[in-house]
Amino acid sequence: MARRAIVVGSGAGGSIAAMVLAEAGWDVVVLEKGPDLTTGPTGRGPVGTEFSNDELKSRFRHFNAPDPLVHPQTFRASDDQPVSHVGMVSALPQVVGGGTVHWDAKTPRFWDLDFAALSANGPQPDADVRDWPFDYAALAPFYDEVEALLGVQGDADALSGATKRHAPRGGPFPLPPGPQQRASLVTAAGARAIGLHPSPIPAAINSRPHDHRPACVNCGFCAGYGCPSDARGSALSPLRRALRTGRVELVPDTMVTRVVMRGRRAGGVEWTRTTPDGPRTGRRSADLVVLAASATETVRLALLSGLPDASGMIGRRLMLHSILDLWGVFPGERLHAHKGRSATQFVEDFNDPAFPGAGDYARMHGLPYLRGGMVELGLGSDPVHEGQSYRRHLRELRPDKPFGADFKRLMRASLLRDRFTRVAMVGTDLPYLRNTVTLDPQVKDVHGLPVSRITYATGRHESLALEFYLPWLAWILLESGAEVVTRTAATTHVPDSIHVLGGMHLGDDPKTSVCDPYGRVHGTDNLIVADGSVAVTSGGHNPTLTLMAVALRSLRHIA
Amino acid sequence: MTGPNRRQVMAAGAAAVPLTLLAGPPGHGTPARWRFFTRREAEVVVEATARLVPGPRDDPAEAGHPGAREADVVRYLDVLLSSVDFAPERVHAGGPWSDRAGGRVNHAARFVPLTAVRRIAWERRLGGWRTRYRTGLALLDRLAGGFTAAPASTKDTVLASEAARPFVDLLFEHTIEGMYGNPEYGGNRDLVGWRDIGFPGDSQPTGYSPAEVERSDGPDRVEPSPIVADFTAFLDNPPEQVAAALRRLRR
Repeated sequence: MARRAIVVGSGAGGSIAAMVLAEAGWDVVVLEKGPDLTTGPTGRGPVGTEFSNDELKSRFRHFNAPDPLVHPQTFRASDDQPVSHVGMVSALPQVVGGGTVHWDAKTPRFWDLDFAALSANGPQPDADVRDWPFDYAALAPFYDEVEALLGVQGDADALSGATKRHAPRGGPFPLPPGPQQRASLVTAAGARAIGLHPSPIPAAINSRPHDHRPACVNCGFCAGYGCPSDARGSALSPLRRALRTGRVELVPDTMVTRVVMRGRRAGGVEWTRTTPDGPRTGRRSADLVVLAASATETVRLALLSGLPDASGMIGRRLMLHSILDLWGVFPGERLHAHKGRSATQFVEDFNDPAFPGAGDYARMHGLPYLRGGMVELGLGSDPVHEGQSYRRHLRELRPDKPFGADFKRLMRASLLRDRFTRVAMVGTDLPYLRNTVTLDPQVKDVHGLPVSRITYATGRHESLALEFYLPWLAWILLESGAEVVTRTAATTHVPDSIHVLGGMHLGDDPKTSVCDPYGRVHGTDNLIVADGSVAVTSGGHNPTLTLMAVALRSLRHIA
Repeated sequence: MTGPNRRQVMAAGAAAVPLTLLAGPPGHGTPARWRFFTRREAEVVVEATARLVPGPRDDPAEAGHPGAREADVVRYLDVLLSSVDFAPERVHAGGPWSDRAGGRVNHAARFVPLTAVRRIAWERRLGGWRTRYRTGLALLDRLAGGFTAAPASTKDTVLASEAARPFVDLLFEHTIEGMYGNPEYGGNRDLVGWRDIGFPGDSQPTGYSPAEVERSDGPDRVEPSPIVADFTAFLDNPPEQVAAALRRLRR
């Protein structure tokens, strides 16, 4: 009889786990908390979806994202402060396909420095910087395989010298770059003019038909939207390969509430499902359990299950990326960022601790080194979101009448959408023991279970990196021709990067890490973690490609 | 059935009413029938949202520029507030595309049923909003001494007042959704919201050619006005951290 595996979550990591296990002969059940918004992921050819170019559904009505009224999280800035927010805290989508349904599929690789963070650059005060238990070279073949699986477009020759040095490639990208967005070309020209090295950003978007999926038509509704045509690569590719084996059962709308442990062995899971007639619960047994519910939800499940935690590190070292977002306003030109596949150019210069001035600035402030992150060039906005910004600002600008014809004039002028673009740095977030996921003692979800409580504050290194690189971002925009370079004051301190890493980090030593180098929870025989929670460092890059490559490496070893 | 009666039926128990009988949206020209609003409430909504986002009839400055009245924002709001009473619920329009950009069938005219757990969330959300609309619209009427018949200046004073602010924030937020959201949700009638701002809306399945994506559309100076000047000045006065960075660069 085939061995049976349960995979918790159908996103980037879980879909890879299901594929590898099923292709190795395992019978696999994938339990997904959220709904299936495809018309059925079995078979070949483009998968039909309920995703569409619909801002209300995608950005305001919780179609892709978890609904905070039934699945909230909580946030506080430190251990000694009360919870200041109940709702979403950088939460990933909870649907079949997970975070890969909302992404704009940026797929840069981490650098060698990210895997050898401690040995390459040394410690940072306050932070818990460590090396991964393997190096870039060990992961490179798995990067290659995931890039082929997703259909990543890019231009290997055009990558910066630093990128080529720190993330060497064996060959070209599977697909050539697609059309470059106007706003990205304009901001890339600005970056080049000040000596930076922009290039097309690697992205899992079909620039020509690939893997029975069509080429992207540049519809313009990309970041934050599900792809209507399946031109964008996602976890559905490995998930569908898994389903084609005939050995995989995909069960949506079903939340795993506990991993059942018997000594060192995971015997199965307990689940719950909300039906029109009320909650249903059940249990499934298995020979192997894979957790891939996203960093915050996997930690929550680990804590709800009382998993062995000899190191005391479960839920610690949460990393969310430190995003530095700056806006350029172009009153004399429409940049039409509503056409195209979201920002199509990036610079990686700021990822380099050897970037001119960064080391001196760090030492001047008592830190050994400073790293920023890659910068996406040419992001856009959408009209409902834009309108809400004007609504809020008119309270200040026109207190006697914060609405009316002036609101409509602002909408037509479109200084925050059509005559606008954004650049955003995905800043390295060092691991700190104080940034954690724990169970909230008060707030419960719709099933009556304690929710994830995120305790998080930006570290000193991150604050300093933002301070150092902010003028560089401003300079890019000024050189691009932006007449106004700005950002409105933050209205909240709740993190919203939607990059969620750490909490179950890999390591050789059970005394200092949660999982072994292949994701097996220390102290267990058959419980594997295969999502972003295993990350040891965050990189200064969108993390999904890396977490898929790490999951592939782990599961190939185990299956 | 007339509006208020229908609403009372819905309030008494949606399950008792065959939903399919209620699901047909009235077209233009037919007498307005409301699922959530009373007739009186709907009138207040029309007049209030026409002050927030005025059209040619509401503000001479907006000649040629349709507003909330023309976009049928009141319909958007009525559908929103009763969205879980439809079968399937009118919360999430379907995919992958409409028939506006080359699609043969408008898949967005069909709605995606809420899963049981999402339905719980939307019943909670709408429960809160319905209460706020009931009390908020009554408040507007009271503050204006009869909102619909009040002069425009009184309406504006009421809508800008501190007393009405919590409700007006919600009403304005939803009005923006009804102006510039996809028309399947009941607003943005004849795409007047998108047309007024030059936004092409959903583009699937045709999308854009590489040339359309990459090219410059040429100089296109924003039309000057006091609010555009004031907003530009506001943007040009960013938080201190950004301002300090700009000062260093410009030195």
